[in-house]
Amino acid sequence: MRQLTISIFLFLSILRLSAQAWTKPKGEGFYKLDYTLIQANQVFDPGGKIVSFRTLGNHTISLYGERGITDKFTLQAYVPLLVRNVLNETRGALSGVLLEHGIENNNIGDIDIAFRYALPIGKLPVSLTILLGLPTGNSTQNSGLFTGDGEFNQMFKLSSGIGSAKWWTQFGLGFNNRTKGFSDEIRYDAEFGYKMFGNKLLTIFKLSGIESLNNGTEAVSSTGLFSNNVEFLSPGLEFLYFLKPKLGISFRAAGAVKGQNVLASPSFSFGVFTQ
Amino acid sequence: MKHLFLILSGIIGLNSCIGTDLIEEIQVPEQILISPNISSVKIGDEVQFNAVYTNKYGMLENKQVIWSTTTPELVNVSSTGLVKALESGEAIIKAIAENVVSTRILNISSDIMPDTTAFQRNGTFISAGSGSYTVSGDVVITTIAGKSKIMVKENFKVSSGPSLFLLLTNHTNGSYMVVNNNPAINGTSAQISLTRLTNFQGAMTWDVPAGIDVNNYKYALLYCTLGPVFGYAEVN
Repeated sequence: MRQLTISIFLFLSILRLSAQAWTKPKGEGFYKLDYTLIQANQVFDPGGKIVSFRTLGNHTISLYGERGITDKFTLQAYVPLLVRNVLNETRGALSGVLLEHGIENNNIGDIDIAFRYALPIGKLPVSLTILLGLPTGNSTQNSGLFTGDGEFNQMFKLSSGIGSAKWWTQFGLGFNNRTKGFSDEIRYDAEFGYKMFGNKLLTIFKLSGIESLNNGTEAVSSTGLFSNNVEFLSPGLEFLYFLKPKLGISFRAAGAVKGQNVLASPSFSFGVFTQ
Repeated sequence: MKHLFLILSGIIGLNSCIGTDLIEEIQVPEQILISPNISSVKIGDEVQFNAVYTNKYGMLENKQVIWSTTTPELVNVSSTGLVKALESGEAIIKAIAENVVSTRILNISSDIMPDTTAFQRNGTFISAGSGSYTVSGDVVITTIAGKSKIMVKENFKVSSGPSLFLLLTNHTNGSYMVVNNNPAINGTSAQISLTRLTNFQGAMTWDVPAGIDVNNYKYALLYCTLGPVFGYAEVN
């Protein structure tokens, strides 16, 4: 059970820009504003073991959007408008003396822009996504409390799925090419969704993961918190509830069953969406 | 949308203040830490000594320090720790606070005698058992003429960490004080590297900052300010 309370940091975008086999019809869109919180005092270390750390809070307000440019071409964007990292101060439990000051850092995060194209392959929907990770966050703060990794990455991903009026399932597999000495990654995800209460409630179970190729330079590992050689396998559950035909609210919780160089704590998201 | 953004920003504001983590402490002997680390002077020299008291948690406490000497024929010691060498010999300086006594021996000569006293302490790093973080290799502390250096040898290797510092400590449990570019000194630990480590293997040398007497500490230790002790070496 303890392992199920593990989670992710700085890779929130993978939970959004994930397995999406279908492109949006021309002119249709989906837009979401949400707040994600992670509070962790444990991490998966480089060997995958859980060790205690100072309590770190990561708070993100982000915009996610996707819009069909044509029936076969969809534009996606994930914009972390505000990323706030907070590291607790430490005090002696007996003496009460301040040992180390707390640290905070507020900045925009790394923006992801993606293009999804429906490939004319077979009867199942198959899409190719090209994602560009822009280094718009802060990756230079002395304390290592970064809001971005400082590198420009490009991910190529194939997704496919099947579904009916009540349910759908989809899968994705991608290669993320990272620059500036960061290790490349294999990213994968799978999703099952079900519509209930007259299609007012969408319940989505999602499994996301990253496997690092560990082919970066070691020096990069020391430049900040958990930005290189990150790995995790993360199950998550999301609910989207339509208040009106084009307006709804969402809640998501995600954890991980294994990880490397990543915070170990659940993440929770609350959002408002429109389509 | 603007209102929603403001609401979410408000939620962040309410939820994201800097909190406090309490670190378990180990009791250590109360100490008087004397600086600078000078062991020889010539007749007529004056040296201003300073002393601080550290309590049973190793933390600095502002207590009155009383200075004295058991060799008044050799030195004159003022109430503020100003020592004047009068005659040749081995003088003993004492600092007392809260019934804790610390002494400093001063060799006094009539000639200008360079302090060539040399001491060396050695140790071998072992990992502290914090997950997969490891440290190995040898460390040497040398003190010549009152100035100390800490050197890790070519066989030194430590797991890379985002905020790793080299300290001298009196225990290994992790309740240390670290300040960037301003070494924190108390009875529990003394900060040797003024900034975080950026090299993680091979031979390296650090000058011990002024005000730190290496003889007051038992371990050379690698500490990540985000939490874990990576490893330590008992220096003998």
